[in-house]
Amino acid sequence: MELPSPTYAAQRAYVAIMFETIGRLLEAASQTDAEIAQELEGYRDGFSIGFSVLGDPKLKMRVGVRNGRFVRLSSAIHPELEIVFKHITFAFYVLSFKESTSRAYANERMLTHGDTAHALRFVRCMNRMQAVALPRFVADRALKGFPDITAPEKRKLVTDLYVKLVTGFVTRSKLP
Amino acid sequence: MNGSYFEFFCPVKIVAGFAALEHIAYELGARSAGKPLIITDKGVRGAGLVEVVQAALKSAGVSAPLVFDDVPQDSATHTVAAIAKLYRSEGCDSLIAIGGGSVIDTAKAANILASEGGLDLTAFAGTNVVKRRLRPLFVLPTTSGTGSEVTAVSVVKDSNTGMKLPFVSPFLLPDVAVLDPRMTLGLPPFFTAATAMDALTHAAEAFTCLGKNPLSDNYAKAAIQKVASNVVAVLDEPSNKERRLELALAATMAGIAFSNSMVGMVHALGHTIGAVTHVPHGVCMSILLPYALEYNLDVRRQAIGELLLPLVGPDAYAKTLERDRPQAAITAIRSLREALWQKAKLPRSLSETGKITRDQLPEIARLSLDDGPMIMNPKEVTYQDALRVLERAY
Repeated sequence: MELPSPTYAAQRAYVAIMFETIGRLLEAASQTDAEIAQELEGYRDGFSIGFSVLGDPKLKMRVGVRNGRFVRLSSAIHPELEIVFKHITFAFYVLSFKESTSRAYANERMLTHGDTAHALRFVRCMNRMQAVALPRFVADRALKGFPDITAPEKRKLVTDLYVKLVTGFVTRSKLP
Repeated sequence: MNGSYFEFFCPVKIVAGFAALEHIAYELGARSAGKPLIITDKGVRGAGLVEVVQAALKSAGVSAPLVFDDVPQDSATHTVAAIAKLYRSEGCDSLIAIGGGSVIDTAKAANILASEGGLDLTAFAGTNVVKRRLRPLFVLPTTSGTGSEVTAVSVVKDSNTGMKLPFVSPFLLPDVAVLDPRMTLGLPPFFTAATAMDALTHAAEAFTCLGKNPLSDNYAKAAIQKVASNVVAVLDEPSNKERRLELALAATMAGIAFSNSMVGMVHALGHTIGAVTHVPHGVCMSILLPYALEYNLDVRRQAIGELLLPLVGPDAYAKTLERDRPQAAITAIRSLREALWQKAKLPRSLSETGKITRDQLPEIARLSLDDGPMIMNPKEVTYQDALRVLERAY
C-alpha cells in the first residue's frame, strides 16, 4: 500500500520544527506588528492558545497572551483555545502551506475547542504573521488573500520581525 | 494542492408531502416510542397546529396530550430544564417539536437533558460534548427557512449569564423531519417571504463558499430553484398546498446543503445585525445576499454564474452569455427581492428595516469578523471590507 510522501515520520519531524518556529514567530510578530498587537487587545491577559495533533500527545505548541504580547508556554498546559489536527498529515498540509487554514477548516482537517470568536482572532493573527514572514508566492498559497502591504512596508516588517526573532533566540530560551 | 476532500452527513429521515402527519404514529412505533412530549410555542398552539398533529396521532392510536407551549422567541436554559422536568415526571419516551427555529433548537437541547439526565444544560455546551444517541426527536417545521430540522446545532441562551450557548453534535440531529403543507399554510406573507429568503441564502452560500462539495451543491441548486419558482406565487395564493410544500422542501434541502458545507459572509454579518438590532434573520439574509455575492464575485465568478440556472430556468440561462451570468444571477436575486417588497414589504435595504442607524454599522462590521461563518467566506474579509458591504446594503 502506498504511504504518503513524505513519510509520517518525516511529516512529524517537520511539524515539530514548525510548531516551534510558529511559536517564536508569533512571539516576535506580536512585538513588531501593529495589526497583531491590535488583535491581541481582544484577549484577556493570561489567555492561552495551542495547536495539537490527535493521537500524538507530545506534539504541541502553546502560546499565551501576556501584557499584550504572545509568549510561548510549556506544552504541559491545557490551553483555553486549542486547535487539534485530526492527523499528522493534516498538520503537515497546513504548516507546509499546501492547504490554507481556512481550506483545512472547510475540509474538516481540524477540531476547535474553545470560543469561536477567539479562534477567528487567532486565525487572523496567524494569517498576518504568515503574510509578513513568508515570501509572497508562499503566502499566497497559505492565505485566502494577501493583505494590502506595499513592498517597502513588507521589507520593513520582515526585517523587524526577523531581528526580533533572532534576538529572542539569544535572550530567552526557557519557557514560562 | 486542490481542495478535493469533503464530508457529508444527513441521517435524518425526511417524511414529506401530503398527509405526512399521518405517518408520525408509525414512525414513533418504529422507534419503540408511544408517549411523546410535544414542544411548541403559544403562537403555533394558538394557530391550531398542535391539535392537527394530535388528531393525526390519535386516529392512529397514539395519545399525545402532553404539550409544553411556553417556548419563547429567544429560548433559554431554564426553559429547557422545565421541559426536561416535565418529560421525566410524565414518563415520556420521545419529543415532537412543532414550530420555527427557536422551538426546534429548544427541543434539541431538551432532548440532551431528557436523554442524559440532570438539569444543567451548560455542561453539554460546545462541539461534540454530546457523544451518545438521544431519545427519538421528531421535528415539524412551521416556517420554511431555518433548515433546523436537518442541522446538528442548537443555540440556547444561558439564563444566568445571558450568553448564547452553542451545542454541536451529530446526535442532536432529529430522527425524523416531517414536512406537511398544513404546517405552513397559515404563515403570514412577510414571514413566508423572509424565511424563503433565508433558505435561498443558505443554499447560495453553501454553493459559493469554501465548504462547497458535489453533494451539497446539488441540494443547494434544487433549493434555489424551488424558492425562485414558488415564493412569489405562494404570496399570491397563500393556500396553495403544492407551493407551500415546495418551499418546505426548499428549506430542508438548503438546510442539508449548508449543514454540510457551511455558510459565509452573509450569515456572519446577519448574525451580528440580528444580535445588535433584532432585525429578523431572514430579513438580514435577503438584504445582504446580493451585496455579499458582489463582494465575492472576483473569486467565485463561475459558482455565482451557475446560480443563474436555478434562479431563472434553462431558457433565460441559455440566452445569457457565460461571461454575463454571474452579474445576471445577482440581478435575478435583486428582482426577486423587489417582488417580495411589492407583495410582502420585505425590506430591500438596512435602512428600510427602520431598526438600524448608519452609525451602528462600524460596530456591526467589527463584531462580524468574530462570527464563525466568516472563516468560510471564499474571500478574506477585513473590517473595511465588511463596513463597505454594510454601507452598500444600507
